Amino acid sequence: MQVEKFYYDNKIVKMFAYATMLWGVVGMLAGLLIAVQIYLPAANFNLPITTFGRVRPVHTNAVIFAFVGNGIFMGVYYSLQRLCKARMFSDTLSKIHFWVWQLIIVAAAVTLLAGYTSGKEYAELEWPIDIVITLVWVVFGINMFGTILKRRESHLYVAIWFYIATWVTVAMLHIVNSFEIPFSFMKSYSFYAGVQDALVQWWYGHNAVAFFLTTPYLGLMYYFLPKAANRPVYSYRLSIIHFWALIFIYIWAGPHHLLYTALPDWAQSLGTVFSIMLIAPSWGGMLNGLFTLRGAWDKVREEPVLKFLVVAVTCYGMATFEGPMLSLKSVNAISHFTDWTIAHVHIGALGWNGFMTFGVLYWLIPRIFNTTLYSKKLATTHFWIGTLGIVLYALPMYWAGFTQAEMWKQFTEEGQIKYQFLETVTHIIPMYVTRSLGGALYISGVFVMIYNIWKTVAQGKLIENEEAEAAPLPKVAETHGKQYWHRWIERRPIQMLVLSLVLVAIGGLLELVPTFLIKSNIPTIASVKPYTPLELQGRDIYIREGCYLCHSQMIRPFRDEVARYGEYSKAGEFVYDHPFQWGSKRTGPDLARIGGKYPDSWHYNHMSDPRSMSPGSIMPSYSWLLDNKLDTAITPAKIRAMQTLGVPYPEGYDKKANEDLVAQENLIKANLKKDKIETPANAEIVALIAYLQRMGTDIKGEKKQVASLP
Amino acid sequence: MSLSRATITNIFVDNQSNLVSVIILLLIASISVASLFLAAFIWSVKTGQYDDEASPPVRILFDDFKK
Repeated sequence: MQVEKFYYDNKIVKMFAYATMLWGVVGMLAGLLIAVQIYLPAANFNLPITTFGRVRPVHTNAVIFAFVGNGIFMGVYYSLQRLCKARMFSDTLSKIHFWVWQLIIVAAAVTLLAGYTSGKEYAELEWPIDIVITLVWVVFGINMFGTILKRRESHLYVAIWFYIATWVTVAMLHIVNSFEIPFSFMKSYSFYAGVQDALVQWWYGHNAVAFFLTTPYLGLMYYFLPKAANRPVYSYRLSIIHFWALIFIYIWAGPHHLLYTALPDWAQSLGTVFSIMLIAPSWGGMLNGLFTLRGAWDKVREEPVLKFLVVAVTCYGMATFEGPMLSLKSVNAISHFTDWTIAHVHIGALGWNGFMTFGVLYWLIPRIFNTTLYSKKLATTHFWIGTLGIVLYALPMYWAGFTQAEMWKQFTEEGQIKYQFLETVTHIIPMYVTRSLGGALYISGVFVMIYNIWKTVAQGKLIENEEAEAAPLPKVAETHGKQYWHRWIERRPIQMLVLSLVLVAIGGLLELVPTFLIKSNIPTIASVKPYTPLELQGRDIYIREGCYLCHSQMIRPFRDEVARYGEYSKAGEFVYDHPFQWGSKRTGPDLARIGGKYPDSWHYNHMSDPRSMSPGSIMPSYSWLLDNKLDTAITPAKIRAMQTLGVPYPEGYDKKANEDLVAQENLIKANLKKDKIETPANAEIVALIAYLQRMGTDIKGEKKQVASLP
Repeated sequence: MSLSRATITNIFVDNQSNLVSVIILLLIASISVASLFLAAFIWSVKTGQYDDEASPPVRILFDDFKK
């Protein structure tokens, strides 16, 4: 058979590698800033765009989608070409993919800092960006499947399977979770409400971890670890089992993020069962990675690349052991809403994703630049600084999480709650300080790497088009064993067409089904009413400032939570919450029943200067809310969007909404005046106070009746 | 606005139906993807992707890299 000559595209790999490093630094610096803000409120600089609630989504989105995202593309574009023995399908699509992805990242950073957020964690980007993400994902898909189609190697190596699963599932997750009704150019309301929204969001959230942070990186592990060790993977059969078992089980585990919430028990139990099962494929994968190095551990001593990969895989094993444990209700009762979660995700992010990325960068950059790494010694230094950084980050957070949870649950002998919430926060501040030192150490390691790579690049020369040779794929694939009806499908293009049709069908189905479901969004508890226009506006300010990132709105049915916050939350209370705002972390106290707890003036002063009302508080000041004027021109559009979503405002209410809004503003203004506070009625703070005072009051005071039910 | 027993029942019933509706959506999405994966799995086995477990892991180690 004639051998064909072709060229691998290394330039695109280089571009993604540079972007990975750039956004890695940006995302980690944002993380360091918010880590300091937690114990030093002055570091919020009293500006909207530098305040924790705005910077935190920039940190999470930058690390996940910019740093790890570009890391995925770097690894895929390098390994896929070599595994398929083919150049990427289209250079133009590669370029479009690269530049539009970077554009999305910039747009994301700008809009998030400007306060445009959907209010759903890790899916914060607003609808226009969501659409562009969908388009660029399709571009990536065509480019990837196109390359697979024109491959010269009939066998699809296990890494490719992981890439395919990543692409398919992320597409589905993104589309389903991003259903939203736009009411302005950059703002929208989540299609789902309350419990539904929570379930969809954490189905997405959990699987984003699974299919964006895990499966593509497992693919990278299966390619780069054997390459770096120069020996085949420990068991190819295990890798096949690992892949199919993992993708099947992962998709069902989402509800473990909602244990003890208003989600029905059976759904919670289902999530737990699948989460426990997940340990088997996860550890199968980890062991397969580590056993690949059997008899080659001497190489780990010499080679920094392998050091990084070994720690990455070990962290993967730790995180995937911890995940199932945290899904047990008894453990979750302690860990949830505390810094334990933060420690858990950073073992994954810093250890698994971070170290895997660094290992791949150290291995791949010298190869595409046709040189050797500038300094192995510096790389080893980076390894030790980074490892120490991870330890210094994670240990204090585990400690802080466990300590705080135990303090929350303490009662005095008289049956009173022993610690005020604030006491439990100030107690763990030393841990917060240590954590930020760990983070700083980790970032300094990254700077060492960038210097090392810069020097490597300077001493080499990029092989933009790397020559390779391989025989083309035979027209009829050679199959061993029996031949079945599938002979006709063996020509891949047709097969792929069928697959893409199925995909499109799913898309159509997904768009149709919700339309049928919309009627089910009917009110449930008689006393739960839609938000007034002013409260709705206030709620949007609450979302804009990222309050949900530190405050939960979900009182779990525990003695201490009911004693501290009030009656536990019911599913029916959230039917008008587009989006839900249950939160996942209590850096501050729960707010589900904050309404009526303090006078209006308390909130006014607290927002202006939190420490004037509760000395020692770590909450940032939100003084600009006192001056900002509420945008009432948008009220009718907001009401109409809510009506579309099934919220029962009377017909034509959008035109009258602002009258009610002004009336309520004046009430609050008068209330504040009684406490000697002069404020313009149309200040944003007034709307926020209206929302805070409404929260949880719809079924407040009904405790006894609920409790006396059989 | 007292919360009667009937309303409480409604909370339960309505939330169930509300929730079920979105679970249907999630199930359709999840099962579609799962069946896609199943189809891919059957295809991969039937076309002999896994007939040979020895050479693929070794093959990736050979580079056609030229100086």
